[in-house]
Amino acid sequence: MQLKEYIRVIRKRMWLIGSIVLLVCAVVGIKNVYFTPQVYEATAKLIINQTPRPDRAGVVDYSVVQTNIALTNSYKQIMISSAIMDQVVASFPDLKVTPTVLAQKLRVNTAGDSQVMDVTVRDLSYTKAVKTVNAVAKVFKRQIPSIMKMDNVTILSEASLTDPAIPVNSNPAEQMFIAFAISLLLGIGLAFLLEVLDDTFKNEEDIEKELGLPTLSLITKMKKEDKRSDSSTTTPKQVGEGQYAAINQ
Amino acid sequence: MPRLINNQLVTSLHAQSFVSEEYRMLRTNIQFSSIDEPIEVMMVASAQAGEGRTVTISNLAVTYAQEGKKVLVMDMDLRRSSLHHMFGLRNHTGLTRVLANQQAWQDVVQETGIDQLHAMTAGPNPPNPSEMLSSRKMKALLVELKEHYDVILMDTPPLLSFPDGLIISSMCDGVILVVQAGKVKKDVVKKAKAHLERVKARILGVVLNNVKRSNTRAQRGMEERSLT
Repeated sequence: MQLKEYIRVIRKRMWLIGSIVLLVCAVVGIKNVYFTPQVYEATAKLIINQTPRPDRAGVVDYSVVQTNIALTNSYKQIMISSAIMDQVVASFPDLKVTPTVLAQKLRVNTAGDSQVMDVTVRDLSYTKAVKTVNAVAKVFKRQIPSIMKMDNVTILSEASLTDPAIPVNSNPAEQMFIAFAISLLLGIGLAFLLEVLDDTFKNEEDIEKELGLPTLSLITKMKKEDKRSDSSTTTPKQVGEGQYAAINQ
Repeated sequence: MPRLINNQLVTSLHAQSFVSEEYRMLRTNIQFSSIDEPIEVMMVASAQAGEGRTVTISNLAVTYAQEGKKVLVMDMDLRRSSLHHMFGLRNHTGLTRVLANQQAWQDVVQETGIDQLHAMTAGPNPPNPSEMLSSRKMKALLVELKEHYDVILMDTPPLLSFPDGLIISSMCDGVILVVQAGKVKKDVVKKAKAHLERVKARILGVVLNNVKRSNTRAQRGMEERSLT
């Protein structure tokens, strides 16, 4: 098939493609607006910093920093372990979560090779996310000395309830765009499939090729325009009056 | 007699319209498809019902009449006759009356309101249409009609449903195969063509009916024709 043919097929099934696109976009849009619960995110920052030995006060020790960075990786694991989770659940019963669910809501990240840990909690309620993340941060800071035998965790910043709550999950514009693109592809694919499956005669070439018969005439679908194209002869009285000059007698 | 001509008879109602032009094209192409032996008796056939045989034969008949020929259009579809609807005629009398020896053909031929164009409706439905059509009486009638008319056009039942079409084809000089665009499966049409070839019917060609105007080829044709 040539490019022209492709365009013809698409134009022919324009309504089909258009309705598929509209339908899919509408469904995705409605789902986004009415059925997707908005998820909020709250982040607390912790810093892992060993208290310098008294004799080295005021000097940044490179090896100590390296140790701390190495430690943050272990801390990540410790934070989502049941040792911490169980403690959070026990100390903050008003959060009403189980340790497993809490671990799923929790994300711990470090920005590159830094000593700072980002603790993030996602929840349907921003208030609850803030409370949970702060609870985790506090419990973690409290528990580390007993687990690691050193007190080197400081809460850098807690999540704040006064920050504006912006949902993080739904990006309707992006989702609509993806829905649009996928449904457009789907529609065009379907149009071509239907074209391939369409086993009927559509033009003179089909007839010549499949039947080996000449096409005497193509009769286009009669439309209203044909029935009013020459108003002078529409009255039955004038029917058949010889306004037509014969050429082949 | 009040005439309620079917609005699908464009060649008569709207002789200058584009569709009328296409029917005249059909007439011209039939004439060119055989120069030496003129085609006087023609039938329209189609594989299935509803492909537009009656509309085609009626409009073709009008274009022949407009050309000055004396034309008879006959409804040979004795099962579901419909020609009378096209010309706003009544079907209480017609071909079956003649074949049953009840009336002379002169009495059942009706004026259509179009100069030079007469119509013979099917008449009351007989119990044995195929036998009637293959009778000697039918052949004799046709010989007689040929003396009175320049062109005889016949509407027939669908080829794949009944043997009637094939019986009629043996009496005709040519068969026009009507194919509805975008509706009928290629295999079905091929089968109908094979049936016609088996009885050695002469297929003049195909009329592709109900072509969508958005079809690029039809559009190209329209442009070409509007230039001339």
